[in-house]
Amino acid sequence: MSQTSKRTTRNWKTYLLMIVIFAIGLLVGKMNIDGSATIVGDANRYQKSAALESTADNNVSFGSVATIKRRPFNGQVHTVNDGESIQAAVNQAKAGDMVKVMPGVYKETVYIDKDDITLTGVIVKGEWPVLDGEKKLNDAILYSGNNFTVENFKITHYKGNGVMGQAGNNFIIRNNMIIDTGVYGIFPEFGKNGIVEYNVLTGIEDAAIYVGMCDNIHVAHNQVFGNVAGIEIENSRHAIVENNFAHNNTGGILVFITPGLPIKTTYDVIIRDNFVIDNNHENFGAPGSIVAGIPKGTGILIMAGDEVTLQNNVITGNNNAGIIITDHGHAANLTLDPEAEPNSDKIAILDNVMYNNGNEPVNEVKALMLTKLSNRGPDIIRVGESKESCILNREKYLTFGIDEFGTCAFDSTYGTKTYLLEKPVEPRKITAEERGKLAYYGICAGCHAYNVKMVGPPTQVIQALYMENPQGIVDYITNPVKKRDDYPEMPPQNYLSEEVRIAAAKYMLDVKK
Amino acid sequence: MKLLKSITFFVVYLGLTVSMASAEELTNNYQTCAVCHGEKAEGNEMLSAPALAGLEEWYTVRQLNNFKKGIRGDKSEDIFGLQMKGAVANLTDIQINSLAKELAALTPKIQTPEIQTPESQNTESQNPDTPANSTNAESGKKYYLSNCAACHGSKGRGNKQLNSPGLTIQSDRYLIHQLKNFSAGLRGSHPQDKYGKQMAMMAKTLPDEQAILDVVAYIKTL
Ligand code: HEC
Repeated sequence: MSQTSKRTTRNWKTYLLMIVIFAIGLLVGKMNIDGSATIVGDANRYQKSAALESTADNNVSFGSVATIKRRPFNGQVHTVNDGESIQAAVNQAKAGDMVKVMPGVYKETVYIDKDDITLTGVIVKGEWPVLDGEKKLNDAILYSGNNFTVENFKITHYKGNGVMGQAGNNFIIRNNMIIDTGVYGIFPEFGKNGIVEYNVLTGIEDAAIYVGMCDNIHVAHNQVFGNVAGIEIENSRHAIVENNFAHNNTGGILVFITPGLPIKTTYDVIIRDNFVIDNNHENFGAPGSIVAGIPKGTGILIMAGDEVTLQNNVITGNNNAGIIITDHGHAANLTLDPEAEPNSDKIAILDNVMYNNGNEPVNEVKALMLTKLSNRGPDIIRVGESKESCILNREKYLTFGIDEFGTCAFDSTYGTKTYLLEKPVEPRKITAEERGKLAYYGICAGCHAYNVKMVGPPTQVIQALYMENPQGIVDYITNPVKKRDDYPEMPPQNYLSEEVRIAAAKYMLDVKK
Repeated sequence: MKLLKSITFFVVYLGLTVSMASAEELTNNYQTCAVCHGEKAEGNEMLSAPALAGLEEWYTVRQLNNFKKGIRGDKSEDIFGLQMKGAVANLTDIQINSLAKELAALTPKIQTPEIQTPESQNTESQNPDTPANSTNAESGKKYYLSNCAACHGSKGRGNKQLNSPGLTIQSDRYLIHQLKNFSAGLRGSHPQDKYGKQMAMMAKTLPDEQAILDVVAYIKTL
């Protein structure tokens, strides 16, 4: 075929494609029912009780209203000075004690497996205690105890996590600066009743704040910028994300179900009063990881989460789209999980401020917008099914795919101040059989999903590699060697007892989903 | 069918022995192999013979030994495996090692995909491993990057530490054929085939034939 005729064919194809897209557009237009007359949802959804409603300050959520009660302090204080070891002090501490860390540079991983410990940095004239991993250490702070508080630390240059919770309940993580720490900045995993507030995080290659498989969580007043994902609520329930400032990430705030994790749902999430601005950072996530599939310029992304309500957010300057609502089928880098419901249902978009989004949409979004005769990206886009969803004041925004959303029966979430629990949850009672499961949920599943690449290789792959050989896994995780160029290193798990390691290994080989 | 394939095998065998002398980079050891795998070890679609040029030395050694010991090519339904088993039965360890070294030193011929692009999808094909229906590299990518890449690498270059060969030098048909063998238990079911068993388990995670085609279509884009 000659050069010219080849070119003509190609042009032809482009035209054809355009026609097809327009045809789809017409079809979509026809099929779309205007749902605005349908009232969706329960008007009292966020009005918990009449008594609450009557108090005057109840219609606003400003200020820190959410707290977890701690017992009055009557423990011992252990002070750590520059040059000393924080871990040594933690080892000395008993339940109920406080470890005070003075300004200085600490190059260590601190592991807290006791209950009721407060780890508090002392800031003197602007000098912070710094945890520095020197790009050699994996994690700064790992806790598995309940009722743990960590505050006032500057954490930098770790390869894995800044603060990771491993199945600890009633946690408070506040007032920390976390800078360039690799995979996750603040990562409570499999915890119930916890607060993440007043932290500043930047330079994280996955999620800066990653709430994974948790319940009853409050994420407030944090600043996240220059990360791949700003705040991520994943496989979690009953969470409020409010008053945060998410700017210049690849994606600002995400609400996900990640397939392949042992807990399969995300629902009852309120996202309100956040600034979600200019999230246009180049995606620097590990190739093939889930977050690597997030298109830059994404303000808020809801994938497979249910009952997610957005209110009073300022969402501007996100060049791909302000809000994306999608399902597993449309997401890049994901294999389906038959046990996870893949759609984002019962989404409620109450009043929000949105403008100047969609200046440079990715090609897929651009193609869809062409059907609306627009070459801008949208404020709100929905691809994939989304049942019983609703919106208020839809006429204010440039949208795609939400015509059939109904009109919300409620216009505020402020009746619900917090999902934190009145009383702290009791510590888990752990039987021997549950030990492996807890370790797998609380630790391994932070990086290993069943059939999806998260941080580490999928569990399914590990099952093939270590068939009938749990001891092989124990040997590896005790002293991991680097095996894969396109994965980070696996952090050693030698801080876990031999018993926990073998239990986790066996559980990992048996898990079926 | 089986008979037909064996006949082709011998016809080509005879036809090629005549022109053997020109396999320059390769020593005499390779002559028998060239019959099916090609003079430059580029592989031969017609005979379902994979490319060997550029195959990792350690991988070739392991596979040849597996064939020799009957760990691979141990199922009567695996015609080509059986052929290989017969063909290498008399190789000595020294021959195996030096062959593997020679082959690894060759520059692989990059196999052009036959079934990857939408344009080429309508080309009729006779090979049962070639799909007449469409393949979807995009959906294959999801499988590949989540599962396969963990051992074969996100660029398909293989990983010695995980005993996983590179995939890009192989033709799509060969890859499809082997994935089907793995998932049907024709390869990787011998109790001593440790790494084959690992691969068989992974091949079975691909839910259906379409997924196999898709994943191979994606590999061919690497
Ligand atoms: C912080 C993330 C992280 C956590 C937590 C984690 N892993 Fe890993 N794991 C990885 C990464 C990354 C790799 C790949 C390392 C490589 O290939 O060099 C890996 C690899 C592995 C491997 C494969 C080794 C091989 O031979 O290919 C096993 C087994 C494993 N992890 C088990 C576990 C277990 C059990 C746990 C829980 C106790 C766990 N991992 C927790 C990140 C993690």
